[in-house]
Amino acid sequence: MTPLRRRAPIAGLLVALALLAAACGSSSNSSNSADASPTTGAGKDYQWVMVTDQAGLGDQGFNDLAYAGITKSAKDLGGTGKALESSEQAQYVPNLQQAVDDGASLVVGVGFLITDAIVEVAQASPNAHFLSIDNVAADKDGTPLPNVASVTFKENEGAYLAGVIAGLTTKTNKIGFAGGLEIPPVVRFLKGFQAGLKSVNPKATVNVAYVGGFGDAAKTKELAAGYYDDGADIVFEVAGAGGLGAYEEAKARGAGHWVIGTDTCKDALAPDNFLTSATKDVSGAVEREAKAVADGSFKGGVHNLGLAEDSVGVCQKTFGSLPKTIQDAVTKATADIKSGAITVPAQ
Amino acid sequence: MSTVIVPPVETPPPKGGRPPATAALVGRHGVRTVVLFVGTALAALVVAAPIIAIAGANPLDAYRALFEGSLGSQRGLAETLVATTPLLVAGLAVSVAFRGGLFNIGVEGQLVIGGLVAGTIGAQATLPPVVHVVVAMAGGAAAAAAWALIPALLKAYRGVHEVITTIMLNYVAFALSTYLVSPGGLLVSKTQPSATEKVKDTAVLPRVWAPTRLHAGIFVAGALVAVTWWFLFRTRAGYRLRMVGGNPTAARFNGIDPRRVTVQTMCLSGALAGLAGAIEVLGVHLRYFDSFSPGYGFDAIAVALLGAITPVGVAASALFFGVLRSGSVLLQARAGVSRDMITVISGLVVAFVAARVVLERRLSRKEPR
Repeated sequence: MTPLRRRAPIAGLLVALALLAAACGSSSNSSNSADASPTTGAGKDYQWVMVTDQAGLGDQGFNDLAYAGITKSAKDLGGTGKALESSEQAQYVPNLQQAVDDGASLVVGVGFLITDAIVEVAQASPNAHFLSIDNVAADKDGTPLPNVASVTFKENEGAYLAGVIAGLTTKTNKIGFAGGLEIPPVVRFLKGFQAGLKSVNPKATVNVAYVGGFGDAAKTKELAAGYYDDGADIVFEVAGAGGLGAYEEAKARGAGHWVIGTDTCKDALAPDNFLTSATKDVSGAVEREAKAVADGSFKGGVHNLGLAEDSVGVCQKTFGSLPKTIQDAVTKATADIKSGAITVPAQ
Repeated sequence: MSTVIVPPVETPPPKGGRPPATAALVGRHGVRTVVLFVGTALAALVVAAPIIAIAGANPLDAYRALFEGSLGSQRGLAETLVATTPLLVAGLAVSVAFRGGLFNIGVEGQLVIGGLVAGTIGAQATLPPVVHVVVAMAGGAAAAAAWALIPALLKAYRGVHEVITTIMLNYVAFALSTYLVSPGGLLVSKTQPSATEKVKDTAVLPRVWAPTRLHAGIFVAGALVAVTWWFLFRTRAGYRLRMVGGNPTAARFNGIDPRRVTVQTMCLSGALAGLAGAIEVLGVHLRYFDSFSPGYGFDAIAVALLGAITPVGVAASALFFGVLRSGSVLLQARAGVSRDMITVISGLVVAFVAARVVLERRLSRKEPR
C-alpha cells in the first residue's frame, strides 16, 4: 500500500477545496432560486420549450430568433419559456424527451439536423405538441406527423424583393451569392433573388458559390472579397453565422460595397454597407404555433408561410432609408406576389 | 474541451525492468490510480462550484440535478451509458496507441471515417440481420485502420512524427466526409442534408433497454475493454507493443521489429477509433450525420489520460464524462445552468490531469525501488 503520508497533500487539497465549495454554496443559497433562466409571464402555466442545435443561444441566427418567439409567447400567453441547448447531436433526443417529460405545452426544435430526433420523440409521445422549423417531420412513408407543426418558409418570396432592391441599386450589374450549403431553403433564397433581380434589371448577373457550412466566417469573407475584386458591388449572403465575414469584408472596403443579409436585419454589423435582408420570421412562426396551442387550434402537418402570412419579406428597419423609387418597386412587387400576379420560382 | 495536447502520462521505466504502470486492477499502482482518478474528478467538480455560483445558480442544486439527471432515473442512466460508449471506445483507441509509444491525435478523423463507412454499408448493402450490423462495424473499423495506416507507415519507415500526420489527416477526413455528404455528393441522403440515407433495420444495433435509447453498443464497448486488456497484458503481441512503447531500442535488441509493431499499433488504434464511430452511427443516429461527433476523438485523449491509459481506468473515466454529458440535460432543464458549465468541468478535469503528470512524477520518484 502507498503510505498515507504520500496521499496527504492530495487529501488536504481536496478538503480545502471542499470547504471553499461549501462556503460558496451556502452563500449563494439565499440569493438564488433554482430556476435561474426561465422568463415568467402572467396567466396559465404553459411551458414553451425550445431545443437548440449545436450553435446554441447567442448565434444571432435561428436559435436566437426562435428563442425570441419563445420569450414573447411566455409574455403574451403566460407561462414560462425555456431553451435547452444541445452541445452535440446525440443530445437532441434526450433534450426533446426532457422537454416532453417536463410537460411542455409546445416543444420547438431548431436546426436542419434535428428532424430525425423530432420524429423519434414525437412518435413516442403522440400527445405532445412539436414545432419543427424549416424541416418536415414525417414518418417512414413520408406522411407528416399529426402532432408536429412543420413550418417551412417561402424564402423565395422575400428574396425576390431583395432581388428587386439589388437590381435597382447595383452599378456594376455584378452580384455575388455566398450560400452556406446548397440545401433547399438556401436554394429558394437564390432562385427568388435571381427572379427579382431579372424583373427590374435583366442585365445584372449573379455569381453563385457555396461556403460549405453555416459557421465559417473566414471563408465567407474570402468569398466576398473575391466577388468584390471581380467587380461585384453587392454580395448576398445566406451563410448563417458565417455571413459575418461578408460584412467584415464590405466594411473594410467602405461605402459602395453592399451586403444583403438573411433572416433578420443585420444593419448593426456594417451600417454603411447593409443594403437589406431577405427576412424570415422564425420568431413569429413560434408565436403563431404557441397561440394555436393556447387556443386549442393547433394542427400538425406542413405549414408553408410566405409573404401573404407576413412571414417573409425584406428588412423593415432600414426600408425607409432606401430611395423612393426602390421603395415603390418593392411595394408593387409585394402586392403582385400577394395577389398572385407574380409567382416566384422556388427552384 | 476540444484539442488538448498533453504528452502521454507514462512513468519512466524503472531500472529494475518492471514494466511501467501495470494495469493491475488492485495493488500499489491500482490504489494510486484510483486515488488520483477520484481526486482529479472531485477537484474539478469542487473548483467548478464557485464558477457555477458566479454564473448565478446554486452549485449544490446544480450537482444534484447533474447526478439525478445522469444516474437517478432509468432514462438518465441509459443516456449516461449512451454517452459513455463512444468516449470509452475512442479512449481505448488513444490508450492502445499510447501504450505503443504513439500519440494518435487522429482518432477523431479515424472515427469519422469509421462512422461514414459503417453508415454507408448500413444504408446501401442488403444482408441478413446480425450479419449486416457486424459487416458494417467491421467495415468501419477496417476503413479507419486503413486511414491510420498512412501515418503508421510514415512513422515507421520514414520517421515522420505521428502527431503531425494524424492531425493533418483529421482535416483530410473531415473534408472528405463533408464532401461526400454535401449537396450533390456521392453518399448524401435525398431528404436529409449533410447526412447519408438511414441505415436499414438489419444494420441497426438493437436497443436493449426499452423505452430508452440504450443500444447494444455498450456491450460491444464492454467487450472491447476486456479484449484490449487481455491483448495488452496477456498476449505476446501486446507485450511487444508495450515493449516498443517503453523502449524501442531495447525491443530491437530483443529481436522485435519496432517498425512492424508501430504499424500494427497505429492500425489497431485506428480500428478501435473506427469502431467508436461505427457504433455511434449504427446505435444512436441510425445514419451518418456529418456533424455527429462533437469531438469524441479529442475528448478521448482526456478520457485516456484520466483513466491512466489502462482499459479499466478508461472505462471508469469514460463513465465519468458520460455522467457529465447526460447530466447536462437536467442541469439545464431544472437548475437553469448553461450547458457550457459541462465544458468548464471537463476542461478543469483536463487541467488537473495535466497537473497530475507533475504530481505523479513526484510520487514515483519517492517510491522505493
